[in-house]
Amino acid sequence: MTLDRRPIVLSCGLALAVLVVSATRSPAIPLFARKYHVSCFRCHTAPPVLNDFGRRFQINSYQLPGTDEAQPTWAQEPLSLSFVFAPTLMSAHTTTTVSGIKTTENKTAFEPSGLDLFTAGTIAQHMSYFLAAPIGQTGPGTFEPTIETMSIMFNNLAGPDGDSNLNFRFGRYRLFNTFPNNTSLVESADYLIYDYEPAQPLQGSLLIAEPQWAASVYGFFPQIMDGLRYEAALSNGTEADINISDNQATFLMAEQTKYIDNAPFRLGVYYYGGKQMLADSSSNKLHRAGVALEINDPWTKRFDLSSQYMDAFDDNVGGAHQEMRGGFLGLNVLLLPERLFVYGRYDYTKVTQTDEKQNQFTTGIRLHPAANVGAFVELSLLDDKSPSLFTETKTTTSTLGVLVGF
Amino acid sequence: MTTNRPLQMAAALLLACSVYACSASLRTSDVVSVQRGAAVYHQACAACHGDNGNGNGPVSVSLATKPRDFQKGVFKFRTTASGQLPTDHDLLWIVNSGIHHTAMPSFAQMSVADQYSVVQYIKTLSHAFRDSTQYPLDTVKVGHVVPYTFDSVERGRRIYLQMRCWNCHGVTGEGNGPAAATVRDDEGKPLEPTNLTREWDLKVGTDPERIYMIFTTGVNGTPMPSFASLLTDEQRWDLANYVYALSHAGRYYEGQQLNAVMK
Repeated sequence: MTLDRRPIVLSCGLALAVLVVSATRSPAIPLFARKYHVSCFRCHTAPPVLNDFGRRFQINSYQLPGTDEAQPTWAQEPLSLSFVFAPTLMSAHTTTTVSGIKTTENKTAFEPSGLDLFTAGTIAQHMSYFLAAPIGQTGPGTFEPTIETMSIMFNNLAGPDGDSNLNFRFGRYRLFNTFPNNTSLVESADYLIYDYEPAQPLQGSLLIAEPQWAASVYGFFPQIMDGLRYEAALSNGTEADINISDNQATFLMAEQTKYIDNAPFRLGVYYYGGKQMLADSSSNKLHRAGVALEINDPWTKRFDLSSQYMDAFDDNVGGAHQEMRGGFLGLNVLLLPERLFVYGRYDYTKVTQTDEKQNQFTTGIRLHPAANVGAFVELSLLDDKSPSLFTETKTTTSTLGVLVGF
Repeated sequence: MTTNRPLQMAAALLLACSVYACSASLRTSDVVSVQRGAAVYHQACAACHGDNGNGNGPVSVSLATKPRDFQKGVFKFRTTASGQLPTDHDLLWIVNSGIHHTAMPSFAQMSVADQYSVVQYIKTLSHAFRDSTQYPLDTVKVGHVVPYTFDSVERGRRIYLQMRCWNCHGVTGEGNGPAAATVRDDEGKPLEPTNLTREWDLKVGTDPERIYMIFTTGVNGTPMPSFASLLTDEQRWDLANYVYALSHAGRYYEGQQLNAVMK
C-alpha cells in the first residue's frame, strides 16, 4: 500500500513536537523509562541490549518484576507512546567474483529507518499488550506503516503475582531467545543464522528470529538458581493468512542463568521445527536447534561474551535435504557506564551440501550523550562464497548512525 | 474442518485465559514475612543490589549511580537524625516512591504486603539493624511549616549563599560549584552534587517538606550535612522553599525570574 507521505510526515512531526514539548520536565526518554521515571539504562546495558533487570521486566509483560499492575494504561500518565528514529549514513563497497571475473560496486546512501512507534502497557490486572508499528520507507517517496509486533499477554496466571511463573501470549511477536535479533548492539548487520532460509520460492516464511503469528506459554522462575526462563509456542510463521496446517512450527526454549560473583552466566537451548508451504504446493519439513551461551566476566563485569551455535535441517530444498551449521561469537565491552561502549561480532554459516559459506565480522563503537540519544560508527565485512555457482561476494560496509527515542 | 481445529483451540485457550485473568483474585500472600521478602528481593532487587545485598548485582556496573549496599546499613534518605538508621516507614517510602535520577524505580504497584516483606528482608542484610545501640531512633517531626512564598524563597536564597551551599551546588544551583569536582562519599567514590535546577535531579525532593527533611537529617554517607544544629527550623524551611523554587524553573538571581514561578 502506497500512501501519500504528507499526512504521515505532518502527523508524525506534530506528534514528535508534542512529545518533545511535553518531555521537557522529565529526562526525555521513551515509553517505559518515562512511565517509571527512570533512565533507559535501568533496563538496558546500552539500548537495546537488555540487562538482567530488563529481562525480568520483559518477561513480566513489561511490568516491574515483583509487580502485577491493575490500572489500565490509558488511565495512567504519561501517555504510553514512544517513537524511535534511527537515520544512518551507509557506505558499501562490494566486490563480486563470478568464474574469475571481478566486478565492483560502491554505494553511499542515507538510510532512514523510519519512525518506529511503540505503545505497551496494562489492560487490566493479569492482562497487558505490546504494539510496535514502524512507519518505514519502502521505496523512493513511499512510506508504509506496518504492524511489526502486536500481542496480548496474560501474565502471572500461576504463582505469586509479579514472579512471572506462568504467562500466555497471543499475536504477532518475537519468540523469546537468548539473543533476540532486536537486542543486539550491532545495528548494520543481522545475525546470519537467523536469516538462513532455503533458497527457493516459499509460500510461508518460518524464520526463528522474526516477529511471527503465534501463541505461547512462557515464564520465569527466579527461585531456580538465578532464574530459569522458558517458552513453548505454536507458530504460524510471519504471514497471518497462510493455513496453519500448511505453515507451522513448534518452538521450545529454556534458558538458565547463574550469577558467578554477581556476573551472569547463561546457558540456553532451543528447538524450532515444523513444516512450511512452498510455492509449488509441496512442503518442507524444517528443524532448527541451537545452544546459546553468555558469559559476563566476574572480575570487572565489563566484558560480555555471547555465543550461539545452530544446526538447521530442511528436507525439501529442490527435492533434496539440506543442512546448515552456523553461529556467532560476540563481545560487548562497557567502557563508561551509560556513555561509551565498543563491540564486535563474528558470524558464520556453512551449508553442508553446497559448501556455501558466509563469514561476517562487525565491529563498532557507541556513544550515548544522553540516555535517549546514541550515535554509532560500525564497520562490517561480509564474505559470501558459493563454490557451486563459482561466485564469491565480499562486501565492506561502514555505517554512521544516530538513535533517538522520545 | 480439520484445518480450523488449531485456530479453534487457540481461540478457546485465549478465551479461557481472558476469563481466568479477569476473574483472578489477588494471589499474593497477605502475610508479611521475611521469607516472602527474600523471594521478592531475589526477583525484584537482586539484579542491582546483589544476592547478598552488597550493591554489586550484575546490573550495578552499568549504572552511573551505584545501587545501595544494604550490608553497610548506611541509608541516605530518612526521617531520622544524622547518622542513624532509617525507620521501616523510611525504607517503605523508598520502595514505594523510588529515587529520581537513579535506577531505583517506584514499586508502588507491588502489593503492600510484599513491600513490607521486602523491607523486613532488607533489614536482615545488615548487622546494624540488630545492633541494640542503634536504638531508639530519633525521628524528626515536621514542625511549623513555613509556607512557600516569595519572601520565604528570598530568605532561602540568602541562607543558600551564607551557608556556602554554592561551594558544591553552584551559585546558580546547577551542581557546578568550585568544589563539585572533588566531592567524594564516605568510601572515597566521586559524587556528583545534585543539580538543583532540575526537578528530576532532586532524588527524593518532590516537595518542600521532603527537601526540608534532607536539610534536617543530612544525607548519610555523603558530605551533605544535617543543618539541624546550624539553622533554625524556620531557616531550614526557607532554604527548602528556595531549592523547591530552583527545581521548578525558578532560577533566582535578583528576584526577577521568580515572580512567574510564584504565581
